[in-house]
Amino acid sequence: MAAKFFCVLLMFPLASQALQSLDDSSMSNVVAQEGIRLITEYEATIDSVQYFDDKDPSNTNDTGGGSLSFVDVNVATRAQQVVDIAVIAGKTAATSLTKIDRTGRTGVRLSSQEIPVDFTVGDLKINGDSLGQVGLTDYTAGGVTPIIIDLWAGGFDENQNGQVDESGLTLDVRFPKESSFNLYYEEDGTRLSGNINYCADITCSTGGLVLEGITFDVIAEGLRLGLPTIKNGTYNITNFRIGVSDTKYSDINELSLSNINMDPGGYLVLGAPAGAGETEITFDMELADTSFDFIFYDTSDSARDSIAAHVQIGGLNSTGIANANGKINVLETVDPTIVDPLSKEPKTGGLRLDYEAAFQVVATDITMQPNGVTDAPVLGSIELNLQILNGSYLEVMGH
Amino acid sequence: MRTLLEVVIINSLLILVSVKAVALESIAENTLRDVTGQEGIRAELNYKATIGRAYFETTDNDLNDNSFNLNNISVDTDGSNHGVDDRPIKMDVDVINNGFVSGLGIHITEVNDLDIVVESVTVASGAVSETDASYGGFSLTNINDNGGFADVNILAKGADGAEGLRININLAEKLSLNWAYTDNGPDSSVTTDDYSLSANVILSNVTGENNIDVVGGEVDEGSLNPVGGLRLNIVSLSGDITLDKIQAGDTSTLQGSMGRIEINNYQLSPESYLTVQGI
Repeated sequence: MAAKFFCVLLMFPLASQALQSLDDSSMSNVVAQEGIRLITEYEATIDSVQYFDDKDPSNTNDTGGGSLSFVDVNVATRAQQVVDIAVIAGKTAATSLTKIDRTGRTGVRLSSQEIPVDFTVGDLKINGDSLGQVGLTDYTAGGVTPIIIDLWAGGFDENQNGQVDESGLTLDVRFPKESSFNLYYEEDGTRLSGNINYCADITCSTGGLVLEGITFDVIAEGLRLGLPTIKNGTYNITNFRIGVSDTKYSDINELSLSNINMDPGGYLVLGAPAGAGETEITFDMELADTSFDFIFYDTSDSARDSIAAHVQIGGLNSTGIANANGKINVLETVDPTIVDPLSKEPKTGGLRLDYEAAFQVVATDITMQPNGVTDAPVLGSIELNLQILNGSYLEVMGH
Repeated sequence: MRTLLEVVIINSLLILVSVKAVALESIAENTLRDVTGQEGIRAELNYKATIGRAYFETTDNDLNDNSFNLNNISVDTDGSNHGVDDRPIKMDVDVINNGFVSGLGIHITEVNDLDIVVESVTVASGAVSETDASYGGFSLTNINDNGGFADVNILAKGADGAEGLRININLAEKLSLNWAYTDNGPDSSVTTDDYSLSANVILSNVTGENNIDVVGGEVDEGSLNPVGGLRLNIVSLSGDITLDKIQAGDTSTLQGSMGRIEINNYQLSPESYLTVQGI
């Protein structure tokens, strides 16, 4: 027993044994019989987090050397945060809290009924030029059912033998339907903001979002992120507005994505370049078949006029898979003929995405539905087959 | 009981603060010549050891014993030279008492190539075996103080009768190391299918003051839950971190870098705390 206690102290130097019994009300947050509870409040500030695309000293043609900076970063709790940690054995879909079949798997579960955390960036800069401020605030889990994060040992089944015989990480995340948060982007005193929530109906009796089977592995090509499987998820942006204060703003119509389904198999691989002195991030991505119901609607004048469609994203043909690949650099210098349209001055370079991609977007059952109308006529369908050829790029600069 | 717990905690922290053991060797008389009238202990730590398994285990509602395991932990105070021209880590240990606080002061120098490797992190439900699912392994190697020094003070809290510990840590001005996470492939008999995410890490100007106490059944503000457990209060914590030459995958073909990340002047506010308790 002493040895066991000592081992626990080694692994979790702050851990100790339970000192108090819990009353029944506090047991609602408990999803395992034994484990550790972390109770914390904090405020962390960082002057800057900077990413540098270092130049290859042996290559005079290297246009890198730029930087991407997050300045005045603040992460803070608004109230006490309680997180339970336990080692668990996977269960069947019927008995699992996440409704995901993980029989035969073992992992670590983090659960919390409330994550009262704000995250703000005072200035986002590329090569010292400001893009503005961004933030995620007022995150709440709703206090009804916990957010659950399951970290299962073993990641992507690279050898496809159906066994967990490779190391890595598989992540399941359940956001309860009651959870929500605010996002904003602000520049020159004008703020674009919205509230994100997961309610599938107006009373929030159903909804939520489960991200199933996100995997993290390191393979020969680089760091591999397996994209999640999603079944009938919901994602809404409400209070979508732009303005200069909490009282002076204009509403942008609200947006709802419901019945979100993403098939398994999608991935994103991030890698390094081949040359020893080079710096860049290469990427290769495939997106499995994805679909959702899209509704763009207006509630600002109490009417609920909407534009709706069912959207599917897939490969360019029936057997294809949506894919993209390319590289990411932060350039210090660019073609001086690229002129800032506002300042009329040549720019000093920016965050550049060189890529090629091929995918298909199909929108069906498109309707424009006035308030009170329950059976609007279908306008038709749109099919977009897009092949973006090698040599295409997107470059983002501050000004 | 509390005193006993604190003694255990002190011992654990001493182990965790990278020295991993107390002085194992006798102090040569000639070493004592360096002491110029000041009392205390000077230790040279030359250490290479492995720990087969350290684990944390919980029992779930189905009465399964589920364990989280760190397997084959190895520590080497001089990874490149061990056994040949060893360069031991040097520590001066003094009892501090300035009238206001008292405790242990540890001055650490000559950290040249300290390696800490965890071969695999696994989880198991029931009996532990070599085929348990693994998160992978990680390593901190070539830890080097670059000629600097680190100070760790473990102090009794104040003269006001408060109980608990204060831990003050000042790392070397520039502490460098190589960090790697290794994803082990399906064939455990070879390493050719193991690939890593790695970076060269530099910790600069890292300093911290923390209070550690075992707290009883307090009812925290805004909560009906009794908050007992081990509590870490932040007095101050700050520093800089650089991650250079970030690489992932087969570095024999992907020899370049994914870039460099600098985290400048991170700070935790003095009101921050963490309490750990059993469920």
